[in-house]
Amino acid sequence: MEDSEQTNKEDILKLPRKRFFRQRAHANPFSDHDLIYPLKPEEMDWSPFYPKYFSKNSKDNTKKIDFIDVGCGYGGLLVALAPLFPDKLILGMEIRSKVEDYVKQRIDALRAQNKDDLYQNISVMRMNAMKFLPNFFEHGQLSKMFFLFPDPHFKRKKHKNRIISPNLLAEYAYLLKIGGLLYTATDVRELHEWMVEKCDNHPLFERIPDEELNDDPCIRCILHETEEGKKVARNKGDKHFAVYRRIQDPDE
Amino acid sequence: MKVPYHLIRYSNDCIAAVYNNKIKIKNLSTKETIELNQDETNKTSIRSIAFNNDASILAVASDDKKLKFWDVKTGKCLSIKNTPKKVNSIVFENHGKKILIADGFGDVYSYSVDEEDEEKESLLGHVSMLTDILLSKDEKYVITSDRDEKIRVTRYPKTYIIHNFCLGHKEYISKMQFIPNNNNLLLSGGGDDYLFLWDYINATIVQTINIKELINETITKNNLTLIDSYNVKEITTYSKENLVAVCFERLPVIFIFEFIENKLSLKYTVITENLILDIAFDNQGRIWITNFVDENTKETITILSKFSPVEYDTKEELIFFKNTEECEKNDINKYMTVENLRKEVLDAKKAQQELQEDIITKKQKIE
Ligand SMILES: C[S@@+](CC[C@H](N)C(=O)[O-])C[C@H]1O[C@@H](n2cnc3c(N)ncnc32)[C@H](O)[C@@H]1O
Repeated sequence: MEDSEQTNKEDILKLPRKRFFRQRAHANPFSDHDLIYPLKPEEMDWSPFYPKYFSKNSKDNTKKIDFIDVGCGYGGLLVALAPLFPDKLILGMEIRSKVEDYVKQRIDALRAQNKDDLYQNISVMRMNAMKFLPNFFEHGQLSKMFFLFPDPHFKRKKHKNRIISPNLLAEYAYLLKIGGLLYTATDVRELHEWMVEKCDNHPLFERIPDEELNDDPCIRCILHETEEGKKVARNKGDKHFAVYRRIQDPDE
Repeated sequence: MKVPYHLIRYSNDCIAAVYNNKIKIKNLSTKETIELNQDETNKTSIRSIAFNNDASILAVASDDKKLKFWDVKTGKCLSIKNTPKKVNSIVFENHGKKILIADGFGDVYSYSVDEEDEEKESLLGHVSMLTDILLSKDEKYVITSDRDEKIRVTRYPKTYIIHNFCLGHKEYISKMQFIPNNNNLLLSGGGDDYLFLWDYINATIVQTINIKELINETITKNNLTLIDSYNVKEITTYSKENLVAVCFERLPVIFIFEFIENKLSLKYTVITENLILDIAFDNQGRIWITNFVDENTKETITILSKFSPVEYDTKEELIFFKNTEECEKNDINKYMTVENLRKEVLDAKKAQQELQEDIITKKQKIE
């Protein structure tokens, strides 16, 4: 009994190794009937995700998720942001279950290694972010959304699978606060241009000129701390990014 | 045996009934009739239709992804458009010059009635099959429902602004309908145990109606055949008496609710002679029912004129609709369109298909 508890603890303390968690590179966002999601945001129990900030069945849970990392992959951004925004709750959403498993273990290990509240503000969930965001978040709840190195879906017919699209931007605009920020990054020039075009054309988003982003600590994280960002650097590839602000429409 | 009418719609004195690729339209006050043939060459089946407000134009979408606008008076085809995907629901703007369509891929486009070559406009999209679309009377909101339990309220014409989501359904939604004489309520139904009455502007649930209970009671009381699941087929309204009628697949029952004191209360339960394929209220408060046709069916369409005790209307009015096409046998499953929206049904079908493909590839390997 004691023994197994011991190994368990040790397991948690050890950071997981990525190679045990590899999975097919691309997920199909249209087949997801085994996902579990709440009927609406009020019904979501966040306590398993952020045990320091939420208690089960308690009405006085006042905290809300502030940032989401859509398609968080192996969680590099979450880990980098956690100490930078200690009072913000940050959620990574990832559709591939093995990848999500890895991130979960990574966060568990980091929490166990750090006795203070460090890393209590980040968590991960297996979810199809193209379909179910409104089940989790309310109108104007989020202050940052990250879309980093998303799957490029090169074929024209697959453009509908792209995570930045005119239709989905309407949904992201619905979830972001006025003034909230949407970050994109990619090493694929064609995808960068596509994302910029779609965001530029959306009346509820306005590009922030790159020069004005010098003080934003997130930029360094999205380019250097994500697994994809690191991989691109190793391969000496280009990295493109763009940041948009959610603006208000006079009719809103 | 006659092919049944699988769709029926009413607007401004005109009733349109659809079988296979054909439409019969009758103006109930002038008694004028007209027959339209949507697809003479391939005879593809018609999927959805909508009248404009004054019933001068009928928009018709068929399984071949063709969208046609018909002049109801002359029977002339005004224009033909190609849609990217199959169209599941159509709604006209008030002035009747433009329609919005909701398709099987989750997208909403607008098309203008005339100008043949004018491009469609993309308005919004869900990442899920769309099942129904409504445009509020003031044209400030477009409301779309999908296979993944969601009703979305979007601003119109600024469709880049999502107004809210009406979340509460636990299964797919098949139909939505505005409550008569009211500007902010709509009723929705689908594969759920409940119908939901929404204040769609504030995304709040005003009332839920337990149809599972209602149906089970009705089945027991009337000795009807049990059914496995409840799937809302159609919701139709009659504004003069604030009535809302709902029917289901595989069930010979119509529930008629009255909207009174800000609530829907069940006023009549009508047991019909046949299984129902579609229903529509006309402006005299009668319900036109299109019947599934088997050995025991006498009429392809019946008109329900009184609900308690039940009375059916003169056969005279129906002479024009009496004949469709002859066929050997009608397969009820062919006409059950909404129950397939259930995830477990679709998943089971997909699994079966994959299994079949597996077997085929294995066979090929062996060979
Ligand atoms: C190329 S990876 C980038 C990962 C990470 N953002 C990074 O920069 O290292 C894209 C990730 O998005 C995930 N993904 C794709 N579609 C998704 C969806 N609809 N919902 C959630 N995650 C998705 C994929 O499984 C994949 O892990």
